[in-house]
Amino acid sequence: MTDLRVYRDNSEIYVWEWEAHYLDGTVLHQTENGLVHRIKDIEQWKLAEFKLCSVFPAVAPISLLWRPGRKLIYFTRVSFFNVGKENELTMRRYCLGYEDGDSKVILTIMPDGGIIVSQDGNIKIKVSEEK
Amino acid sequence: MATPATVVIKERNGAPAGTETPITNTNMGNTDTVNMTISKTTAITAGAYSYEKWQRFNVTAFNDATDIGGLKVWASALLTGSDVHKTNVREAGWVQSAYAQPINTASTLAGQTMPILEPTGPNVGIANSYVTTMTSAGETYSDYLIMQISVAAGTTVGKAITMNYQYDEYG
Repeated sequence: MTDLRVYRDNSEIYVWEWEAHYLDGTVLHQTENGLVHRIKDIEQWKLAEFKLCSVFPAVAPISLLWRPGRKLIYFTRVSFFNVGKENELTMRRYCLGYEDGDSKVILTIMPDGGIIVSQDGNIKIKVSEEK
Repeated sequence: MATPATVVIKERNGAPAGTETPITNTNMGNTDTVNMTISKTTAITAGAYSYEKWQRFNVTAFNDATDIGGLKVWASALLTGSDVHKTNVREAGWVQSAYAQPINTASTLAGQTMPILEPTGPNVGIANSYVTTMTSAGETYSDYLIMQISVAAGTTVGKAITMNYQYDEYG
């Protein structure tokens, strides 16, 4: 169980945005010219790399190199911990991964930038009593 | 930049249709009141039940998200002694409940013990299903999660526990 002490993310924007890099060198950005693309807009058959880029330029991107036949998984998981208490915490985790036949891999990006790799994205978190 | 959905937990109180209010806490006591302040006058008497809590997830703005699902609810700890925190949330066999005025006698709907660890799968339904998601064109409310505390006759001092709520957001 991950013990989370101080890190939180209750931002009013997504602090990680995706980029779909295609085999032909073109790129589909989640936000582009004022438009917001959806995951379903990605043409997975010609995907070469799925990349998450932080809105903070100093943070390095996270890449998932692609292989044909995979099914992309991408969602964010929002938790409200200890609602109503002094140590109440809202946290958003970014989950990216793929299904490939019988195997499934999900990378969960934690609010501190740490990455946890799992098969189902179920990262059980214990929120410390410390504020 | 893309904007996440706005999701709140709302509680319904009073006779149907009742009123529905975003929560700032889930304090339970001897009145049917949202965001209750704990005091001697709201304490649950030993050997009695709290009023039920009827709460649900509500997407108030989807913004750049398309779907909300994977709803989970759990408490931080068990109550002490023979006190019990009961609920209708469960990971299998979800049954949607139509709102009824909260009661302070034994709830016939809140028959499960509230989990104290994050469940593996969703334990609150949407439109009577674990797989349905909330969408701008469909449901914007989850089904109701119901809770009640049963205080044992021998209880003299209670225990403070807290509630955790979680959802998955797709875009």
